[in-house]
Amino acid sequence: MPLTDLPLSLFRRTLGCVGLCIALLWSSLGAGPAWAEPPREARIKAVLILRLLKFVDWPADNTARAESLQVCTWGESPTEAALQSLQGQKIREREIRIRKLGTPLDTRGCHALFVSDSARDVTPALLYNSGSSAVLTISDMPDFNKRGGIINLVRQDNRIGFEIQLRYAREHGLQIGAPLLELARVVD
Amino acid sequence: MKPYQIKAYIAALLSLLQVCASAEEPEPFLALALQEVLELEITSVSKKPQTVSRSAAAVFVITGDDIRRAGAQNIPDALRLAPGLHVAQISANAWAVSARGPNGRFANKLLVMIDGRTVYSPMFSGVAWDVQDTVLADIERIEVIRGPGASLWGANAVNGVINIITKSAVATQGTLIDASTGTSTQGQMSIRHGGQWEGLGHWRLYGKAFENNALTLANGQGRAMDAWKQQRLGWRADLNPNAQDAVTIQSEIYQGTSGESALLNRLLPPSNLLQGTTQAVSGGHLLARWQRDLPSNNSVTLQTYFDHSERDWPAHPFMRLDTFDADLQYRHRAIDKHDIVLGASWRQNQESFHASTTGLPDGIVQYDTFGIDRLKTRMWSVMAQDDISLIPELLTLTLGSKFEKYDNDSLKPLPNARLMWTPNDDQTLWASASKAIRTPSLIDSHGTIRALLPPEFTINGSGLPRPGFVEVLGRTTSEQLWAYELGWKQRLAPGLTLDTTAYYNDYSQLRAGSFSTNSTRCLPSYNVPLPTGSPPFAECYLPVPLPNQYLLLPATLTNDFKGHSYGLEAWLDWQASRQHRWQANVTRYAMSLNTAASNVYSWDSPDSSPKWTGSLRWSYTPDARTELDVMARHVGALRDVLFGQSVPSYTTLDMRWAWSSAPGVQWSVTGRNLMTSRHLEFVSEASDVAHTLVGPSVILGLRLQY
Repeated sequence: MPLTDLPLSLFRRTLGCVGLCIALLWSSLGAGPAWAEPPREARIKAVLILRLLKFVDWPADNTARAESLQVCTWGESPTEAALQSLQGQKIREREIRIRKLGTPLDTRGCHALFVSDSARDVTPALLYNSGSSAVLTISDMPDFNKRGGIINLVRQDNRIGFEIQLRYAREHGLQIGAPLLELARVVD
Repeated sequence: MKPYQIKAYIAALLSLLQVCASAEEPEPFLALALQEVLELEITSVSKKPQTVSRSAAAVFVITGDDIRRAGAQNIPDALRLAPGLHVAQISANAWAVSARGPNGRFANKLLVMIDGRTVYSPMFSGVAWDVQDTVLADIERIEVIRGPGASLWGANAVNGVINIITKSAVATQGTLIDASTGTSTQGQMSIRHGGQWEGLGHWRLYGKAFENNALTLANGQGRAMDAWKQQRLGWRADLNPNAQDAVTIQSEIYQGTSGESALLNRLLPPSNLLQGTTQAVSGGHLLARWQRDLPSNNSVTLQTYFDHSERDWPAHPFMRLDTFDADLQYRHRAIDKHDIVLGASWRQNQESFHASTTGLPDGIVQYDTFGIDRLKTRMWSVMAQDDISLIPELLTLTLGSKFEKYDNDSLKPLPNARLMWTPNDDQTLWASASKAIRTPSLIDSHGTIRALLPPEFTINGSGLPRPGFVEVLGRTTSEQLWAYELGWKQRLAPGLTLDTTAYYNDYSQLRAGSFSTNSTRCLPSYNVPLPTGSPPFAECYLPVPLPNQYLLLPATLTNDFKGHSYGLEAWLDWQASRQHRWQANVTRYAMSLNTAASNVYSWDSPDSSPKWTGSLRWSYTPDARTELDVMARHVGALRDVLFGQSVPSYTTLDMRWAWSSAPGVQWSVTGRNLMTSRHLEFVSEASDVAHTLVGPSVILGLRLQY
């Protein structure tokens, strides 16, 4: 074998081996739903929701415990699944507690309520008759803040941004911190 | 492998995967601050998406918004926004771009990539900026990394890496039309349309054409002949056939002409003739990337591309390059406190090189001629990098290396170690040591070129009596760098961030030219009787020149130079309110070279980069419809670009005002190089190229989006 061909043959061998490994990985994994994890977009949204909470002040009548972050969810979606997967983890020493709500809807003990796109049809009723009013409502469904929601997660190019409906926040007795207002698109 | 071995292998692999899958993985995004979460991209092509404030490197990101607000007409314009980068215009279509060191049209220590495809040419070791373009509105961001990036990106990422990343087709849905005209351009038009295939993915199709005007000659003889014209057509598809797989396919073709005012050399007087030499440029590429997300945040990416480019430059070379590249990466995050990237890549360059005589009259001497006309080079490499969380959320150690084998060069390890300390959300301190190499170009390693000497060139203090050539025999190996960096990123107050870096670069085996005037010859040689005691090449100085006679100075390229440079870079970003944003930067650089050999000249000129540069930028957004941007730039003097030629310092101003008359309609007025008269920014090292002046220009633009 001429010396100049050595890198190529080495490469072929390496590639062959790597190819085999990949093929094995691929075939053994399949598209196993049991192991599937939420897509990146949903994970970013889930973390964003938790991060937003740091900048919100709840009125004294909110029944959620201060030492943990209580996020309740309604409906099913990848973002909801991503939130569920954060159950029990910690963010700045505060434990994350995710609770899936059933009907009748009772938001007592929730700091925030995430509404999945699948619950679009029931939203207005849900938002106005939900036990405790001092709950930050969040969703990634289009036009959520025209339906009475406070925070709307929106896709901006390749990133996730958010809009705040300040009027509803005020009506629910929630104080939105200045850093959030700086970063959000404010709808009023 | 025998069948039972395969079974055993699968079983081992499966058990390993099960272990990985059952471990509850903490979400890494939880460690990020709110602002950083908002910066996270949904899709990314970089090896590991990182938020800038938590990266142990001198990184600056020029966003798509920045590019629009700067009124950039081309990529080098946009790069002027990056602190620490020296961008100097040579002609209407040529630029010198470099960080932390010697700059030039053929600046050879800066690696540039567009969507993971390298556009650094191995033929001349540099980037031909005139053919690096796309619809600027579709650029997602430009990552400018100062300092070595060789352990991740491989050879030639010596003084910096520029990653130009275009938007995913998801983000470019609908139609965009961007048109502009002004004093520096006849017109520019970009059209893009994006759509989607239900359940499969998104696509876009785009075209761009422009015709830019020539600049002014520095010698006072009016306009240069460097007009620039180009057409480009491309498409991109981003497919998500299922939840795990992401596939990107993109392709582009372009053609155009890049003019150049050059001194053509004739064997008979008048020897130097200033004439336009129009380069015909064309090329295209096809790239495919497939990413599969595996359980536990692991992922595997396979990328392959083919790139073709051609340049026919009369009286200069004709160059054709075909590159085929394949790159495989695996990211493993299933081990607690580790984030591992493994990679392997292979590249083949097919280079074709010869002197071009297209459209030239007879009797013109080629600026350079070549001893070889084609070459095939191959490169392969493997890499591994691990981000080790020594103390979670506090101390991170990055260890990694690429092992690269380029052509006949020996296998080179390109290691780097980075330590990052993040005591809180507001502070990042980091330190690094890394090695990088620049691989020899075709000329450096295989060349026998004869390059015409510029009229300024002297031998023993006297000018050349007739056209002189230097005959360069290139047999060099890679240049090397060990770089040491220290960085501090601090959020001083809400909205106020400081990012500073100090570095020390230790170069060795730098390329040098060794002249030997004793062996200067006159070619063709004639048997001329000379008085005894005449200098060795006295026949070249005969009072009556012999016809068709020229001087030949043999030179050998060696790796004899060493050098070191140091610098300080500081950048301050202040988002004072929703309306006002201020950005300021200052960069200090110094370099010195030395050699143990005698009669040796360095190919790098330390003084081709300014000692000081600085800029101040104000972005004002009074309401959702109006944008006003003002940027003042100061570039220090270049004391010695080439053969002692210098460029004075200058301070200039760029401004843009834009207004939306309706949603999706934006009008803009951009002024560039204001408040200064026409000035020189750089001198081409292709020394026969005429010097041109950059002057004020005004551009009107309209962008429609629906």
